[in-house]
Amino acid sequence: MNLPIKVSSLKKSFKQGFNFFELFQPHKRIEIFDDITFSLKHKEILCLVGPNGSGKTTLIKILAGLIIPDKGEVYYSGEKISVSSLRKVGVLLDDYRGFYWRLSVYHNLEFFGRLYGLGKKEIKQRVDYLCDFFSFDKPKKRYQELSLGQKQKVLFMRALLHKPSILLCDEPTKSLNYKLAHSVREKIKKMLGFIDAAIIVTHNINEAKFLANRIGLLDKGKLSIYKKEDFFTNNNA
Amino acid sequence: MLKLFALFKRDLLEYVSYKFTFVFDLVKVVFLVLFLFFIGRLFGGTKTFYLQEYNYNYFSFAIVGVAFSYYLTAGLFSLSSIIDTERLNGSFEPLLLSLGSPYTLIIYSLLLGFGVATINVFAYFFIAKFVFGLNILWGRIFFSLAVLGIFLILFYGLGVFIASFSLFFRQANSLFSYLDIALKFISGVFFPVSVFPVWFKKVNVLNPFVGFFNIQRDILIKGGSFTLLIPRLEKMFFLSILILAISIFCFKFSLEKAKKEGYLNLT
Repeated sequence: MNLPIKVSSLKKSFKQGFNFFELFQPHKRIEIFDDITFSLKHKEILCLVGPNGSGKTTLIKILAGLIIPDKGEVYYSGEKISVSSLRKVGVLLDDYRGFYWRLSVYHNLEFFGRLYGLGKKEIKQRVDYLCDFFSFDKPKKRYQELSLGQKQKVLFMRALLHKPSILLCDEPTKSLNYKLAHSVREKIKKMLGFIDAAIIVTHNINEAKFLANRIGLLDKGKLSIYKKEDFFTNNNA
Repeated sequence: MLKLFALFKRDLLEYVSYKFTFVFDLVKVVFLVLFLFFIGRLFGGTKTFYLQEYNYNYFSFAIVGVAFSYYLTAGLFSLSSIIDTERLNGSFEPLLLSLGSPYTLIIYSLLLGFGVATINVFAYFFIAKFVFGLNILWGRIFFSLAVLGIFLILFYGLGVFIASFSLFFRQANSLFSYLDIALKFISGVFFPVSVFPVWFKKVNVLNPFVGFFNIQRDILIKGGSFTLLIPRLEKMFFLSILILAISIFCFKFSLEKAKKEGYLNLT
């Protein structure tokens, strides 16, 4: 059976910011990471940790097909990354803005559901299910009227709307209070009931400890993956 | 098709969520028609040489120009404006993630732009006729819309190119609003291009939008026949197809570049 996620030899660099005085010189590139290789087993959660600017979000965006790597391949259940294989993936990006603020939560979710190719009835069922799962009782409220915690729940609901088997989350509990963050973590654990594998980017070591089977430390362009127990005994935290 | 409908429903819901937008849009049309009507009256008594071929009727000349200029704006700028709005909203990445292919967005921008422009054209003509007594060849309005089809390929071809530019350079929309005004100025929306100096008229021959407004006025004011227009339309059709093909290639390149450099959602 194919592994849910397989990543081999990923390399990424970005063009350095524009400088007028270097207009006619060849563009300098900043290397973000090189030779990132890993895979996830079934029902496994990998938490990615690392200092700011180490490339965690870039890696998530590459896995989501939003950034093209310089080199390397990504496979979902044995299928190379493509429009069709990305349908198996739910992505939660670290951006509360990505909704239509004047529309209700239901209309927002209905819109994205339609773009994923879901029918009207299916969307209604999924939204009802996800509202229940996340204890969210305000689908008729406009997105702009929600609190930060409620917006976070809607981000999750959108990521899970099309029944993905793989989940990619970029800082899912950022800006949440302790209680709410804990409840979100519990939900993520619970999601393994219907999700095959997940990669979660976090700055919170306790979150990684709570959620992960393995922890990936991305630092200075290299990714080192540890079993959870080894990670903490090696004093990486 | 369902995706296009979803995009339309979203835009409609956003539009109606602002209660007075429709009223303000309508008032804008009424004021512009009123403005052109009085300018027309100002010229009414003087038989200016430049308006000779349009029966010295500035009002009908300008209304046809202004109304059809909505197609020009829609074609050239609707896709770049959709992309720019999504980027500012932070929803461009989630949109691409759920859409899969960006080409649905291109088709949608075409349909939306065309729909909105057509509503505007009819609003202008309706108000101009029933309130200010506009006199054009009303029976030829559908013929003029059919001819428009050929030009729309050109407008949207250039629009896709402009969107590629916008994806690549970002923050280009303010520049495009100047371009929109400049194109309307040199293409004969408000006044005949024959008023320009000789040297500029020679340069302006290369401007395909002049042809668009001339043909629409030929149909609606002068009653030009289809057979006379065919040679002009033929050339335009092949040019339009070529531009559209090049533009789609450029758009693909720009999107890939934005994905490589990671500025898909950046403004």
